[in-house]
Parts: sequence; structure tokens; C-alpha cells
Amino acid sequence: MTDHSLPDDELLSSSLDGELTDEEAARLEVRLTAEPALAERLDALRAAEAMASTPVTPLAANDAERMIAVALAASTTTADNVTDLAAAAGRRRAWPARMATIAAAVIALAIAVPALRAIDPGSDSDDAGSADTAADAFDGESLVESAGDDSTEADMATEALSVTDDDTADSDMGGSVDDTSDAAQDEGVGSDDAEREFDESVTNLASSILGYSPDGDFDPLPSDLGDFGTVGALSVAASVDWTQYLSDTVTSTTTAPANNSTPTEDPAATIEGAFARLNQLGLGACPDILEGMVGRVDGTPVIALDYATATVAGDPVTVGLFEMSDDRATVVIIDQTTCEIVDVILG
Amino acid sequence: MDETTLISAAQRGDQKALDQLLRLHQDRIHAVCRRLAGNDADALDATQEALIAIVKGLPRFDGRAKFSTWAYRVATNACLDELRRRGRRPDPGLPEFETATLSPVGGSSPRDPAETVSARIDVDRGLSDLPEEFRAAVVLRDVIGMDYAEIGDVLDIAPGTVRSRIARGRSRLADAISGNQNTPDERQTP
Repeated sequence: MTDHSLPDDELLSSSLDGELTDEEAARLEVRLTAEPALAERLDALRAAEAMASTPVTPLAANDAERMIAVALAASTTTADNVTDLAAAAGRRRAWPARMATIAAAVIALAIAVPALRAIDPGSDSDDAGSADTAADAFDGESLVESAGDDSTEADMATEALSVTDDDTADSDMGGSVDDTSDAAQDEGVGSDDAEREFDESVTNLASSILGYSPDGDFDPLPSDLGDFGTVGALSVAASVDWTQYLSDTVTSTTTAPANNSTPTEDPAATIEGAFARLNQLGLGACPDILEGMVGRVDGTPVIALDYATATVAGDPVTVGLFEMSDDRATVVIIDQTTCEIVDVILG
Repeated sequence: MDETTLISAAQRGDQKALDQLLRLHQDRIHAVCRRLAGNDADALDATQEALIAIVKGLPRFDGRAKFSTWAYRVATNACLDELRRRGRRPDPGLPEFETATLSPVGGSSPRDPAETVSARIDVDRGLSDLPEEFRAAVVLRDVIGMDYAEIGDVLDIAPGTVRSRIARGRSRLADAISGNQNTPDERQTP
């Protein structure tokens, strides 16, 4: 084992970097000639330098592009529009009703089908007993603003997240969704009467009340957004996805065939029924949120337009897209371990 | 468009300019984060955080420092903050064995091909064993090629401290390569 003088190491290391003065370099040259051990140490430090200088494998092209896109999106995402739920609630009232209506309608199916596919016919309703506790945690009081300083009143958040009768009843769109219902049953789920009832209620909600066209390609969020180091990175990524989606796809969705049928059901009641039914079946880790982001906020039934799964530092989260117009959307990130809202993004 | 023009345009909200500006530095920022983090997954997240930090901080860039110096300061801090948030030291993960051509310790001449050895070195494990302050200085010097004054600006320390930290970092790496397990405290000082 060899001992080395740290001052000598500094001298030698600096010489490797060309950071010695002419005088220091000259003195070192003399010493290196006279002291073999010092020359050996210079070689050892040179080896260390070579190791540390080993080139890094370049970023994969898709990773590089995604990072740039996320960073660019961050440049237009300010603290205000991430956290100002009160302002969002105000803006929301001015949204084109048709856009919100279409989105809610289509996503009623987006929620229903995967949820039904996850149903275990053998599940009983025991889990529903925990719903009250979870409801307390999801009643608007527990909304967590990750940015801290911009927290707003829970009732504003509730309003921003709610899909109400007014949002949905004035739809002028329509279409058939029978094939979606069939598809769910082809998967071997929804085999008992209750599940079929649920399926039909959501189908009816989408087709005859809200106006869903199965030809519409409404899928703003991929099923799995991936793993992120922070909620902030996930928030920006989720924003990017729906922003791109809006520009590419939503225009065609709005051209779905019109159906001027009169609403025959109360959407809020239907959502509430869907929520109760899903809870009864014990779906989802968070009884008041469930996999499809169906639930109640401060007593008001809500339904997500789309949802996705992701992980943040390894912890599972659900990303729900609650409202969407041609210029903004509301995305909520819920920690599936604590069942708390960890971020609300208003873009 | 030169970098100064890009910076000005990006600060005015020109997304194309910002895109170009980020691309100019993305690979090197990733390289810094990769060596600081010690594994690919953490490096990707850290690089993302660094790019976001640069974008968010760009309006405050006043041009008094070189943009690269400012950007690496922001990026290095973002990477280190991200790793601290995770509450752990760099995780080398699966060894990234890379071939480095080394002079033999104790060899007669580093220029003699017959005396040269090619050693497979786990770069990440070596760097991850360094204290954070040494690792950052070594990475900025050996991965990015910054001089001591620039590193001092990035890390907000004096050039003399840069010199000391790089030397201590390399000293530990050299000892790891040669199998010398002495800690710095055990080494001789005059």
C-alpha cells in the first residue's frame, strides 16, 4: 500500500489540467526526474483522470426529444396556471359547452370499459365500507397544492373538478355505442346482471345524453405515462400529451354525427350510480376515486374525461383529465398510496 | 443564429430559439447528470429537471456570466437537488463497464504500448464512492472540460478549492484503481 501526500496530489493533478504556473511546472519537472515515486503517482492520477473522462453514452433520440418537449412545455407553464383553481373555476364557466360535453361523454366509456374489465365477479361489497373514510379525504378539504403558496379554497377546486348537469345536458351530439358494450362482454366481464346494468347505464349516459360517437378518437392520455422522478415532471409531461392531442385530434372528434335527442337521464345521478356500483364491486385502491376517477368531490359526482397511470419515484399515481376545451384542460394527479390529490394542473 | 441571439430570442418567448438553445447543451448536461447520478434512470430524471430549471430560470439570466457557465450551474444544482430529494447516494446500478486505456501504475513509460494496460473500469462505481463535492468538481473538469475558474463559478467556490477537490477526487479514484484502501485522513501530509 502506498501513501501519498495530498499537496503533491494537488500539484500533480493540476499539472494534468494545465493549471500550474510556469514556475510550478518547472519545479515539478525537476522533482519528477529525481523522484520515481512521484512519477508513478502522476501516472496513477492520469489513470483516474482517464477513467472519469470516459465518454457518456449519448441520450437516445426519443429521450432527447421528449425532454426538450417537456422543457418547452414548462416554459409556458407558470406557477399561476398550475395552481390557481379559483381562476380556473371562473374560466371554466366560459368554456364551449359542446367541447366539455363531448369529452365527458366519450370518457364515460373510456372509464367504463377498463373498469368493467377489471371486475372480479367474485368480489363482494365489503370494500364499500371504507368509502366513507375515503370520501372524507376527497371532499375538497384534502386538495394539496404542490406549489404551496397558491392554495385556494376547496369549494373552488370542487367546482373546477365537477361535471354537472349544466355541463352535459345541452349536448347536440349523438351516436351509437352498442359495439363498446358488446366488446366489454366479449372480454368475459360484466357477466352478471348488476354489471350489465352498470354497463348499460354508462352506455346510455354516453350515447343518448352526452352524444358519444364510437368513431371518435378521443384518447388524450396514454394508458401509462411512465415513471417520473417528481410530480412536477409528471405534471409537465401530462400537459404536453393533452396539448398535442388537442391540436391533432380534437377537431375530428367534434365532427361526430349530431343527435338532437333530449336527455332522458340525469347525468349526475348516473355518474353517482356508476360510482356507487364500482365502489360496491371494490375496484381501485382509493374507494372514492377508483381506477376511472369516478367519484364525489364535496358531494358532487364527478367523472374524469380520461385517466392514465404513472409512477412518481416508484409510487403509483393516477392522472385524471377532468375537463378539456380548445385552449385548456384540468389534470389531477392522485397518489394511489395515500389517495390524496398531489397536483392539479390547469393548462 | 448565434448563441447570444438565441438567448435573447428565447427570453422573449421564442419557442424555436429556446428549442435550439436547449439542444445545444442537452448532451453535455446529460453527461454531467449521468456521471453525477451514477445510473441511466436517475440521470434521465435529473437531466429533465435540469432542462426545466434552465427554462424556468432563463428570464433571470442577465448575461454577466457565460451562458454555458450559468446553464451548468443551474443544471448541476438541479441534478444534485434531484439526487438529494431521493435521499440517497448515486446508485451505480448495473455496472457500466467501459474500457479505459491506462498507464500501468509503476510502469516505466506511459508511451510504451507494450507497457500499456487496458483495464475495464466501473466508472459509475468509482465516481459514486466520491463525496458529492469532489464528484461534481471532477465531473465538470473531466467530463465537460471546464477550467478551474469556470468550475469555481459553477460551484460557487474559489479556484483553489476547485483544485483541491479535483485532486482529492482523483486521488481517491487512483487509489481505488490501484487497490490502495487508505482513506485521505490516513495519508501523509507534510
